[in-house]
Amino acid sequence: MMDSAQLFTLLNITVMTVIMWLTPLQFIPFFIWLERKGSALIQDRIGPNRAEILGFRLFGIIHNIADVIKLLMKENITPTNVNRLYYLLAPFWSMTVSLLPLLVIPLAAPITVAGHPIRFQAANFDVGILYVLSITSMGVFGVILAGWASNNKFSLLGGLRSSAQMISYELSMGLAVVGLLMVYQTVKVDGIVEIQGHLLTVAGHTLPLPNWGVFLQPVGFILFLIAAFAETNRNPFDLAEGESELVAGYHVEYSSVKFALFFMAEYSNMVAASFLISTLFFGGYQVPFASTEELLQHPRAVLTVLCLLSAVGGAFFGILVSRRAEHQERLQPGSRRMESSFLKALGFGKAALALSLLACLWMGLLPAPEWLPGVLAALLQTLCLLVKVLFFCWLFVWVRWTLPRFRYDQLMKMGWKMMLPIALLNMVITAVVILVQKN
Amino acid sequence: MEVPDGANVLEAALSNGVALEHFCYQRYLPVAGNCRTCMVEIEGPKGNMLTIGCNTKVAEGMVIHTQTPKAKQAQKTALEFLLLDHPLDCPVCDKAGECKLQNQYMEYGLYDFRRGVERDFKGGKAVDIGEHIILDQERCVLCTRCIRFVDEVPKTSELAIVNRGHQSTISIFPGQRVDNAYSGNVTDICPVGALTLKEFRFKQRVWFLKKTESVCPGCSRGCSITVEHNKGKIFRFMPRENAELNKTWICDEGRFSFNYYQENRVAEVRLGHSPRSLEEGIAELAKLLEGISPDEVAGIASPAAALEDNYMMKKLFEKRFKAKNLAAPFWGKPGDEDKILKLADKTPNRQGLKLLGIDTEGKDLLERIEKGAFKAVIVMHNNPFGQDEERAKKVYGKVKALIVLSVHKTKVAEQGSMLFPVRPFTEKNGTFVNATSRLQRFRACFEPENQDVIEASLWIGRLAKALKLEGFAFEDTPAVFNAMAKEVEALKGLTFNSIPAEGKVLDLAPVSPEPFQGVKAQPNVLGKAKS
Amino acid sequence: MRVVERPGVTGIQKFYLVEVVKGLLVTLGHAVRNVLNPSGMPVIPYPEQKKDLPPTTRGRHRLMKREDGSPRCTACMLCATACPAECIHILAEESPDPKVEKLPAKFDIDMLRCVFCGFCVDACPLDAIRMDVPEIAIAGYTRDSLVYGKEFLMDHDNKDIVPQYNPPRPVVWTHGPHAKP
Repeated sequence: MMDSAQLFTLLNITVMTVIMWLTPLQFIPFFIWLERKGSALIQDRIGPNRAEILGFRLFGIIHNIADVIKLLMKENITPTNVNRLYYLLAPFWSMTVSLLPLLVIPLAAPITVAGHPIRFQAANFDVGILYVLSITSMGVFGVILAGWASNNKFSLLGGLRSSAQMISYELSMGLAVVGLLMVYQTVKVDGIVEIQGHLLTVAGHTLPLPNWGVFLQPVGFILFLIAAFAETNRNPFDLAEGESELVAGYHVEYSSVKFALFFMAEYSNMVAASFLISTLFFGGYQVPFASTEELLQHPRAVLTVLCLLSAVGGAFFGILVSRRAEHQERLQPGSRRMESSFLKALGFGKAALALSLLACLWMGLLPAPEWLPGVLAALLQTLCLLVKVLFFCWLFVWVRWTLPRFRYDQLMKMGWKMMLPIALLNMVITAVVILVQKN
Repeated sequence: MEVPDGANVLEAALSNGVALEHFCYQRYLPVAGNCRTCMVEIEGPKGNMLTIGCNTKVAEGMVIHTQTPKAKQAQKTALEFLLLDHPLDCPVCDKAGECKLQNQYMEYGLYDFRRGVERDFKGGKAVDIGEHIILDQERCVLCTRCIRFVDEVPKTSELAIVNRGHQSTISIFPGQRVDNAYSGNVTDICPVGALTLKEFRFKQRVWFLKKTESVCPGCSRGCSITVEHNKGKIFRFMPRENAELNKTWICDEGRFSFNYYQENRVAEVRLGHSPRSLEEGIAELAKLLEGISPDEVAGIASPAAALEDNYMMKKLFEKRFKAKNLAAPFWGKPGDEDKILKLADKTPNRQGLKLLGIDTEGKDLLERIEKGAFKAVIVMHNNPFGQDEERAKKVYGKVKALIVLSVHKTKVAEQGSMLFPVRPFTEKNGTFVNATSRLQRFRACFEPENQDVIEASLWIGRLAKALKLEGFAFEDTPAVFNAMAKEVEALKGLTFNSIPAEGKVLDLAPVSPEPFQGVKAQPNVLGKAKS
Repeated sequence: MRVVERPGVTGIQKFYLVEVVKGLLVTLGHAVRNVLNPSGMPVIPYPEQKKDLPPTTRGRHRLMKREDGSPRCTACMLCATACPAECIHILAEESPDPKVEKLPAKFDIDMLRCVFCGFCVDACPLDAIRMDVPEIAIAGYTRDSLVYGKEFLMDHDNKDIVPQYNPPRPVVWTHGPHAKP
């Protein structure tokens, strides 16, 4: 029989698991929108902006709904000569595996509310980061199965390329992480994030920099970043689906929902990679220069920051919308006025609301319950993590629309002849430095 | 070069791969020599002499030049004269693409137009001169091939040249239209678009047509024909040159039968009134036949079916049922007959049945069926009780299962309890043996859209497989023929692909005289060099 | 003749990451400027605004008419023969005028197959088919609606089409290498 504390812990874990499963799913449509709009902006285009509901186009985000409807309504084709079991298994495998790594990522530091400890991490395995590495390396099975089971030479080539690529870059990825683990002296993810909350100390001097992995292991970070791009089969490493050579690579025979699963898995992988990079190298949920204890001690400051951020964000959004509205007015007088006014009102209204909240706070009109500091700290930390993750999502998009694809020999050369030696060297040097420091 | 005695210079050149321009000359018509395009230079005692090749017999030691500047100039001039008032509306003309004048101009002409005055067209467009034929006097170049044909072959002489000089035209005598039984041939030999067939006119441009070697199944003469088709539709039957059989002629009855093979077709496998796939149909038939004693199955082969179909039928009855229960009676009433090509027996393969030893009368078998001795009857390409519907109805009432393999929706196909569509000769490979015991091959023009429509011989192979019989697995009809050739004495040493294009006369007593009785069908000596 | 050496990769460029970052900055510059100043993008919002077509535009087909309104086409099938996409389907019939001889009973162009090569126009001996209707965006809701028949192709006033042509508004680049100061 469980006591109430255990029950609460169980509830906590359950809720967090659901949240961490839903997070990538929520990110996917946003990511796809970011990809489309980002590529358009990089290429001096407007990007998708046609799908609308009741006159609302929301900068093209409605296209995601149209896409979902399209993918669900399309004929779900299973070609005649495929290996049925593996063919059907592959997309599910890919999608499932891509959702798993996030379970160990903490969204914020643990807090206590009304005597109950709340953790913002679904699973706190002792193997920690190794779990993530093992799960991501299973993702390749989805691609290989799809490539082989489709009974199509293009998809087979795509699958082969993908498996070779993933195996090559997994090594560097693992070795890059080893350096990091040596520095942190732990594999548990929450431990890694906690350590990053301090200030950077080099040879006894405290520097005005957070104690982030990227400063401790700059080479390791670059290696990890490159390997993460390769692991997610993302440009410039997307040879597995090089459409100019392989039509669409391993998923050439997939349609409808099965294709959608692959598509979503790809983005979900990138979301996971973004979370991972943020957590390992950029302090995770840690707000720079403000440790969890400090946040808990100054709830008023935290609320102020939150309100100001919200106000600035709302105002910026409102200004952007009005600039677009002017542009639209010049192109087509009279069109899209309603949506613009609504969005403008939304942005500026949000800014006004945040400011008035701020005013109330300073005039002391707000009650301050006992749990408030914890909740506010968690909110700010989650926000901070999301900002970091969003930046890396954008980085994925940004790199894709900047760099050309590698040739296959270049890819292999880079993986084995550059990344691997550098990763080994990095590991050895890190070890030596740590030894020297200890003695 | 040594050529047969009496061959003319043009024939000697053409038969031995020397290209020479010619126009009015037709190998199986008398020489007229009126187009003057086959000019050659012959060395003689008084120096080289220009003369026409068609009307000059080859002699011992003759030296002939076809490519000297002088000869070429003469050929070109003759061609220019022919084209002087010929309208240049090739895109509209239905002959374009197989027009001799067009081809010759591209081959030998290619001069600049020199006529300084307006062209003088004769008029007379689209004159209806016969049941099948339309004449365009403007396009006629007066080669007289058509006149010579109606004079020499059907000997009806409806056509003649009227008027004089540049107003001369081909025309019919008043009230005497070109309605003879061979009239279609004049449009084949017309080198320009002057004579066209109503049945083909404007239906398809000839360059779209694909040509398939075939045999006319209209009567037991089995004339060599070419089936011309495009995208699964047959547009015409054309005679195929066969010096030993039909020369370059066919009768109108055969020529215009092409629509018969693509109309009123059985579309699908039917059991009773419900459609089935071929697979299901054969499985159910095999189940049915396994429940019947082998003595109670009768087979009706057909003189209209290919040799291979009948062979497979015979084999099936020998191995599974009783060979004496197979016969090939035919409803066909004797048709009209003449001394040129047409024969009274309107089936193409009765000699083939004789070759295989299948009874072509089958009176005994029909009587036994009538008495109710059989539970199942397999009818292939046939209608054993002919037009006698009352009798047929009565007889089929006594049979438990009437299995019909049919191309067309015939009466017997409607009465059949199991109906399987099979391919007509235009869609399958096979062989016929004609009345003069000539074995000829025909090839499939195209695949039918419905893959359940298969060749009767292969259908029997499928049925045999369902009945678990060995030795019926043939990939295609040529394989059936090759197997048959090993068993049948008269076909020894032949394979499907080694049958000559003109056919092969088998060691079998002919049942009709050779064609062209009393007709001078071979006025010119064929000039193939002796090797 | 001047041989231009390929620049090759030298010195610091061999350390790929620096060049990568340079490239990223270029694309980021575009993205940021386009967010802040959407009017600077050299784009035309297509269905609402359309570019004028130049006079040599090869557009949709039409069938020219004789003075009496009958088709100039005599169903000679040269266009169908020349067509590499096999998109022209003609059925001929006898013309009431023996001088004309032949008329198209059916003249269908399957716009879904047409590749706009213009061979049909070149092949036509009678200038009966032209591709000068300035329609370049051809769309429909059913396949059948995109098989254009004789009546549709002949539904015009038989005059030469000279499209009104205003040279395109020069693209003003507000940023990037072509930007005007």
